[in-house]
Amino acid sequence: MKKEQREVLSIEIQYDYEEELEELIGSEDFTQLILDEAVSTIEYALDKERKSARVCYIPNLESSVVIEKRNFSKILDTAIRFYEGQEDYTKCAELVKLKNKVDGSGERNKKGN
Amino acid sequence: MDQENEIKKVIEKILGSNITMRYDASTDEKKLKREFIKVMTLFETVWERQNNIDVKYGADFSTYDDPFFRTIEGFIHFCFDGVAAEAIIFYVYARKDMEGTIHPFVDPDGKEYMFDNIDDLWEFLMSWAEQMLKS
Repeated sequence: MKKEQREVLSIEIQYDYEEELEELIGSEDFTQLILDEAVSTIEYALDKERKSARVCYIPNLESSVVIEKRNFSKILDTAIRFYEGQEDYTKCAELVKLKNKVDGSGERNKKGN
Repeated sequence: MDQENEIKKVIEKILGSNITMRYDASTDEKKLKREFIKVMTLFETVWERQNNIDVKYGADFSTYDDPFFRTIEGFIHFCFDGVAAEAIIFYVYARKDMEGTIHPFVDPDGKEYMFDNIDDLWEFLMSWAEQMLKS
């Protein structure tokens, strides 16, 4: 039986000057893309009970961006703040729910140990 | 490696958290090359650090560090063929002079090789290994 796998987003980041990277940080579209992908991979990792999540693959570096479970909650806080800024409160509510799930699973693990 | 760190910082700023950049190379040779570059960069850094302390502060740590460098050299000779080991050691210690001029590595047949960067050294090591396998 074939394992069900999440398709990982591939982003090529090419630049000549460091300032271009600063522009990238300021770009709402890019921020949303990365945050959405992080949220989606956190959901997947929780579902599969993984200790880390692969956000995206950067082909020109042949490297993947990986986040550890201990940082899931912090990343969701960032996403909540972003969508608050967008005044998308439906999305915020979804993220808060997911964050509670993450925090809950962390607490369970602590109690379990 | 610099580009990787710069991109890592950008993504960390966006996510507001630490991340790990995991190398997912498609071939064993690429993985090996990356590991080699990582180790060589460290080797070069400690060598340069020792020289910089001497130049900047006049503190000569060469006697103190000598056994440490001899250990590294010993492992290089242990892992690589004679000429390949010499090329690696030359790359760190003698490739660049005080003015920053790059000098060629000369193999036992008198052939010169310019190592402008670590990629050039890697290419030399690969071609040397091929020659060794053929002979």
